[in-house]
Amino acid sequence: MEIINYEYKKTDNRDVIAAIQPKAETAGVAVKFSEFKEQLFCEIDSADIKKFCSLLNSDAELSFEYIKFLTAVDYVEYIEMVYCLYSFKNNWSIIIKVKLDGRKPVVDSVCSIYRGADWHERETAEMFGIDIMDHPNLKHLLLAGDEDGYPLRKNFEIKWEEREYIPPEKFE
Amino acid sequence: MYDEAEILLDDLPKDYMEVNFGPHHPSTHGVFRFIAKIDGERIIDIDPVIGYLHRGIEKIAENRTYVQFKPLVDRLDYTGGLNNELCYCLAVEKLMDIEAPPRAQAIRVICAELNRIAAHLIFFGAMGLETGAFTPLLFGFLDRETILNIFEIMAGGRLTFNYITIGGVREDIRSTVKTYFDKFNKEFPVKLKRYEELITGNEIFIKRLKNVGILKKEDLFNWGASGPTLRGSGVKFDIRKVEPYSGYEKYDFDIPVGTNGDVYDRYLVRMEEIKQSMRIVAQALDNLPSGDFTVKVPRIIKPPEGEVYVRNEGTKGEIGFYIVSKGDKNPYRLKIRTPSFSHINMLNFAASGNYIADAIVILGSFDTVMGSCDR
Amino acid sequence: MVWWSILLWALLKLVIAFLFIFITALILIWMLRKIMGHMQYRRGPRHHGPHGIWQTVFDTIKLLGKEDIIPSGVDRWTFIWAPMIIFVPSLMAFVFLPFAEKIVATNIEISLFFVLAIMGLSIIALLMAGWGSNNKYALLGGVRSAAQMMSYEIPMLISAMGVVMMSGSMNLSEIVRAQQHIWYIVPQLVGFFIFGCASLAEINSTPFDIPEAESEIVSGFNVEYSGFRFAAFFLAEFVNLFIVCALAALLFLGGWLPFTNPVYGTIFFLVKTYVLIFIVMWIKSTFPRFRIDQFMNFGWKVLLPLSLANLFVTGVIVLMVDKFRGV
Repeated sequence: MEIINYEYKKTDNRDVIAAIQPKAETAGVAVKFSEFKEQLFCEIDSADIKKFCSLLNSDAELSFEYIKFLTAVDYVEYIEMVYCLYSFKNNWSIIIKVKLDGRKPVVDSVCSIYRGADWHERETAEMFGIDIMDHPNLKHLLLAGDEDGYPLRKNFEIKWEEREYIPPEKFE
Repeated sequence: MYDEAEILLDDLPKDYMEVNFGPHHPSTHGVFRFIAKIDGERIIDIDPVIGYLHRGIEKIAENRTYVQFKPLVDRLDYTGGLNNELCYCLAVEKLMDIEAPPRAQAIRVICAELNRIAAHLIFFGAMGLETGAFTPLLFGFLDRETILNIFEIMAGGRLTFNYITIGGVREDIRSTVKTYFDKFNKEFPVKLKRYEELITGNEIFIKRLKNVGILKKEDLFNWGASGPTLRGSGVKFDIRKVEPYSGYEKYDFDIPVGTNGDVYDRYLVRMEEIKQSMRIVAQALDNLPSGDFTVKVPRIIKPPEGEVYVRNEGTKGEIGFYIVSKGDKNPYRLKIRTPSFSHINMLNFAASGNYIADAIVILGSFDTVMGSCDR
Repeated sequence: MVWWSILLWALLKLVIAFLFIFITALILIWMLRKIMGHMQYRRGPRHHGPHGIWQTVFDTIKLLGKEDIIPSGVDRWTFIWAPMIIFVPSLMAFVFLPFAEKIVATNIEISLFFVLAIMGLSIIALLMAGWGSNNKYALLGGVRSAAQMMSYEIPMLISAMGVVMMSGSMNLSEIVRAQQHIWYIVPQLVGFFIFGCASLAEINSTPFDIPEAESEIVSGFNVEYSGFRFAAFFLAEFVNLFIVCALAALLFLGGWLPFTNPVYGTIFFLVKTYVLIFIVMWIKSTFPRFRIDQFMNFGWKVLLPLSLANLFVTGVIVLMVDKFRGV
C-alpha cells in the first residue's frame, strides 16, 4: 500500500465536446450536446447507443471506462434512458440521453461493453418495462415479479391495500 | 416432505452441490442471498439474489417533497447515514443554486468524516469476524460507540440523524464536540495501533487475506467499482480530490492506494483512511469558520426545472443522486446510485473459482450494506 | 470379588466420572465466557452468583428443558444417536486419566495408547451428525471435521510417541513417574508444540475451528440440533478440551509432580491443566481461522515431517544415552 497526495485539474466541458465530436462524426453517430450546471449532456438516437458507448469505451484518448449508473426517466409520452459515464484518464463526465418510444420501449444492451451495466439494466427493465435487447440474463432483480405494471412508470398506481389478518394455524 | 426434497434434487445438475448462503447468514451483512455452486470446497459459480430489503425508495421520493424525503436517505447505507444526507442535500442545492455557508460546510465535513471512521470500524470488526476472530468486532464497535456519542451531542441521533439540511445543517455545532473529539483523538491512535498489532500483523490473518480475490483495475473500471475497493487495486481516484465538494479542497489529507489489488490491500486502504479522516476532522475542528450554520431557504422547496447528478465519496464508494425536477414540490424522478449495488454485481466475477472461505472474505472486503444495495 | 461388586464398582466409577466431566464442562464454559469477555473489554456473565458462576448451570438447565426438535427429513437414527455417541469417547478417555499417584479410575498398561485411540472415535459422532442432519452446511461441516481429525491424529500420535520412547512405557502414571528429574517439555519442546497444534485441531478449537466455521458454514455439524442434543455437543467440546489439556499436562508437564501426596498432587495436576486451558482460550479469543487448504498443508507438510523428525532424533538420542550408560 502506498499513500499519495494529488491535485486534479478542473476540466472544461468544451474540451470534452471537442474530443468527442469528430470521432462521433466518423463513426456516424449524430450527437447533440447541451450543458446544464457544468454537466455535459449528449443526446443520441436510440439505435446508436451501443456504437457510441463502444466508441467512448474503447477509444484510447477518450477512455470512458467507468459507468456510474444507467437508468430511465418516464416522461409519459416518451421514456428517456440516461447513461452516466466517466473517464478516469481525463477526469471527464458525460451523461448520455436516449429517447425511447413510450408505448414500446426497446433499447440495446450495453452490458457487453460495460459489465457493470448488467444489474442496472435488469433493474431498469423491471422498473420501467423496457425491453433490453441482447441482455444475457434479464430476470427480475429487486422485485418479486407479482406486481401489475412497472413501478417507476408514472401510470403506476400506488395501492394501499388493507390486508386481512389471518391467524396462523395452530401447531399440532 | 422427504419425497419433495428428492424431486427437487432430481432437477439439479448432478456434478455440483448447490448451497444457499443467506438470506440469513452471519456473513452476508444483512439480508443478502447467494446461491453457490460448489465442487468440494471450491465455488464454481455464484448467483446473487437481492431485493429482500427493497423498499421502493425511488418511488417514494416521487410522492414526497424534497424535505420529507430527506430522512429516508439515512436508511440507504445505514452505517454512513450522514454521507448520504450530504450527497442528497448537495444535489438539491445544486438544483436550486444555493451554497451552504463556510461554517456549515466545515460542519458537514466533520460529520461525513466521523461517519466514515465509524463505518470503517464496522468493516474492521466484520473483517475479523469473517476470518474467524471475534474480538476485533467488539473492539471496532467499542470505538464506534465513542463516535456515536459525539454524533449524539451534535445531531441528537446515533444511526439516523436527519442533521444536514438543504442549505446548511440543522443546528450549530456545540463546543463540547471539540473536547470530546480531542479526547478521542488522543486515545484512538494508541488503540488503533494495538488493534493493528492484534489483527493486521497476525500471521494467519495475512495468510487468509493476502493474494485472495485479486482484482485488476481494468476490470474494476468496467464493473463500476468505486471507493476503497477501487483504490485497493491501485487506482488513484477519490471524489473528495477529483471533484471537491463541501470545501474538501481546503483540507490536507492523503489518499491510500493499494498495490496488489487483493483483499489485504482493501483492508489496509480502509485502515489508513481512518487515520486520514481523523486528520481531516482535526483540521476542520481547529479552523472552524465563524458565521451562519445555514442559509435561508424557502419554506417550500421548489427547485427550478432541470436535472443534476451529484456524487460524493461515501463510506463504501461513490454515492450519487440523479434528480430530475420539473419545478414541483416533489422530484419528478430520483435515482440513487449506490456503491454496494455495483460491488455485489461483480461478486460472481470476483469470487467464483475461490474457496468458500475466500468468497466470504471477498464479499466482506467490498463492505456492502444491503440497505443501500436494494434501496 | 463377587460379580456384583465388580459391576457396582464399575458403575460407581462411571457415575463419578460422568459427574466430574459434567461439572468440568460447566466450569470451562463459564471460564471461556469470562476470559473472552475480559479480553474484549467486557465483563462476561455476572448476574447469577458471584461473578456469574451459576450462569452456565442455568443455561444448561434451560437447554435441557427445551423442546426436543427433530426436523422432518433427517436420518432419524443417526441424528438421534450422534449426540449420545459424542460423549462416549470423552467419558471413556476420562476413566484412564491419572490425577495423582494411585488416583486413577482404571489403570491399564497401555492407557496412553487407549486414550488416544478412543479420542479418534469422536469423528464418527461428528460424521453421523453431519450426515444425519440432511443439511448441506452440516454435511460440509461433518466432512471437514473428518478430514481434519484424520490428518491431525497422525502428528499427535507420533509426537506422543517421543514421550513414550523416553519414558519406556505407555502407562500414563509410569510416564509421569519417569519425569521425576526433568519434565518432558524441556527435551521434547518440538513434540509439545506439535502435540499442542494437533490437539487444538482435534478439539476443533481456534485457529483450527474449520468444521464449525461460523462465518462460512454457520455452525457446521450442529446446525440442526437444539435443546439437550445441542447441549451434548456443546459440553462434549469442552470435555474434550479438558482431556486434551490434561493429556498434555501428563505427557509434557509432569502431571502431579513434584508432589506425590494424592491431595496436593491432584491440585497441582489440575492447576497445570487449567493453565493450559487458559492458553487455549487465550488463543481462541485472539486468533483468526485458517482456510481449509492452508490447514491441510500445515498438517501434512509441516507437522507430519516435523513430528517424524522429532521421533527420529528422539530415538537416536535415547539409543545413544542407553549405550553410554551401558544398558
